[in-house]
Amino acid sequence: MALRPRNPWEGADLGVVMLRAWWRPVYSAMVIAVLPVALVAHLLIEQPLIALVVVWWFKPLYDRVVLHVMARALFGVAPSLRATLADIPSLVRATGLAGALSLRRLEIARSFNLPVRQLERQAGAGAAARERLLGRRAGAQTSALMYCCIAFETIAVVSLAALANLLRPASMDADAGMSVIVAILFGAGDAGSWHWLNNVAFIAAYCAVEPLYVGCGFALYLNRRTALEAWDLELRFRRLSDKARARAAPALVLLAAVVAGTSSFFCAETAQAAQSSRELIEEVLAAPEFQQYRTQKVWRPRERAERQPRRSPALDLASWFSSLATAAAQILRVLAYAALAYGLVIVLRFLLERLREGAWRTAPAARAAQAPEMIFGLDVRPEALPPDLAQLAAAAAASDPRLALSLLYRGALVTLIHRDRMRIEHGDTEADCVRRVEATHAHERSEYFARLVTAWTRTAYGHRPPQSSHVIELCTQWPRHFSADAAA
Amino acid sequence: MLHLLDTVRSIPTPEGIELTLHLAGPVPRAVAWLTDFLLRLGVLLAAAWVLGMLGAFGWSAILILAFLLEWLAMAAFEVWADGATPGKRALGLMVLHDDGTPVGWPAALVRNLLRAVDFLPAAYGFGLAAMLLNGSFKRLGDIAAGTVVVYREPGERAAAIPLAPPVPAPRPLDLDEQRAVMDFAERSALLTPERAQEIAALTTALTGAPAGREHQRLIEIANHLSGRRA
Repeated sequence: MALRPRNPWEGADLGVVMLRAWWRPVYSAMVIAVLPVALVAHLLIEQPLIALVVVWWFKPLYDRVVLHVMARALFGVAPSLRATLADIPSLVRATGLAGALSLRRLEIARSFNLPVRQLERQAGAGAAARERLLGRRAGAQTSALMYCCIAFETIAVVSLAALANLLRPASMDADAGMSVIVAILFGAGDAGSWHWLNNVAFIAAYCAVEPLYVGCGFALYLNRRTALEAWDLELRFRRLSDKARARAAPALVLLAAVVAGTSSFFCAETAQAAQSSRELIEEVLAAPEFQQYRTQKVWRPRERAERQPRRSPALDLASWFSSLATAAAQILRVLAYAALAYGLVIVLRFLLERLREGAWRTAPAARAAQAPEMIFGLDVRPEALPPDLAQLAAAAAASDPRLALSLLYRGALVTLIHRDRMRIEHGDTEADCVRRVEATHAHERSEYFARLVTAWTRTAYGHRPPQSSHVIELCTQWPRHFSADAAA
Repeated sequence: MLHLLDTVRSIPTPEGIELTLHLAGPVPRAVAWLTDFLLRLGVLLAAAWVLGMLGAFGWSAILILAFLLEWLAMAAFEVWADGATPGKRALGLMVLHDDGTPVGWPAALVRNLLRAVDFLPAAYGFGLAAMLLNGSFKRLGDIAAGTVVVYREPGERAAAIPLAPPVPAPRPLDLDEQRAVMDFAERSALLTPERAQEIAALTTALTGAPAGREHQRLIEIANHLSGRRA
């Protein structure tokens, strides 16, 4: 049986599947259990209706036999009829049959509770507590199962009666046919000699439906226990740990083999495996799917007839020279390839170094095309700046330090971009620029740039312009570092 | 291979995915049928009470309504209301084509009109017998229409996993192992602590937990798997 958590309805359905799988042992056991009771009842009791009620009353007995067969079939093999018969006395004694036939005969969850008493061998208060626990979330299903099975029995009887009428021989008149139906359904007095049909139909219906009731109840019980005790999880964990162990095993074997130094064993094994896989491949290829050949004609150039060199003793020296030349040519060829490879390595190393430096210099024209025009909202095109930038800035230092610093800063950026080909990314901040300058320029210059940037950011963003003397100092130092013709 | 008893029908799709339908057996279907029958009866009685006051016209209307209710209403529910009549919905069932696609008018009509055949010889005798004998719990109408009745939500609904400080597994778990650990964590609240520990003790190879702490360790790994981080 596939174990997994099911909803209770689905759990009950499993009973039908179990019954279908083991119908032969289950139904034969059922019939074997019912027949003696029915015979004895009808022999001892005059009234057919009372005899039928007695047969009905003994249903818990048949339930036990059916459950016995099903449980054995589920956890192993279905017992033979003989084995079942031999087990009946113990079933009668040890499964609370007396209580089931008296006090609990009208219990609704009869088949659901039966495994507790029969398979778990519980009795008394313990059994009652266990039944309460198990039945806590299957109440609707057990009662639905009970009423459905009552309905199924009725359907079986009614259908038998109707079928009898449908198959009535034409020679039998309608009244006689009607009396058969009445006899089957009600066992009524005026049915005359058809009287016994009623009991046969009902007992047949019991035989047909009772195993279903027991099987579905058993399945519900199993489902409930699977949920409460996580049988399926236990099974999965066992399988997983087996798998984990199996995965670890080959490594251990390999280790042992290496330690023992018996590698030849493995070689033999590998060769054998290769041989067997080759056989397997041939076997697969021999299948009809691969046995399709077709002939195809294509044009190919005719092979030239091989020229036979004519040899003469006079030519031996010449051929020796020519073979010497060939050897020399081969050596030269190898040397040429080596030189080429060496050159490639040199070029690659050069390129890599340049890349690592982070200062990849493209051709000035291409670089200029890429040079940004706006940075931090400042116009950094060279043509937007006056040529005598430092003097202008110095002139404005006292009256408008902001303008002066702006000029210096823009001028410095323009110089960095166009003269020094420094790369400034779109998202760079002022501090990023300082860092880039530090990476690529001399200490003195980068230190000056850092001072300039600090002054500028304080003025522009913090509205705290520096002393004008400081601005003038910056102006006077500017041409040394950033004028277009100063050394890079 | 060992064939396990189960009530599922699996459908391989062209994409290589295995869909499983959880077939519904005779008991829930009988209950669903009874619910539908009582509903139909109630509607018909209510309509008869109102329309009966209209004389002969009212009676013809009642007859038409009875016809529609008996033959078409259930098919309409199955096509328009997600494959479920009210009774089926109450039991969590639905009708699908054999291949798992939603049921359409042709199939719904066939299976509902053929209820008449299932009813033979009386009180659904053939239908019940067919359902018990057929491997997919099909009554004759289902066989003719190529439909199955399945559970909408098979299995118990998963509970939340108990909270615990997340701990990664000692080695990466494959999908099966992850699923098993998560299922355990979801269901551990339903188990007795002793039973939970007993099962968890099987996983020492998986968790590397010290003896006696496997249960807690599994919960912690499940917390880690579910994406919680300390």
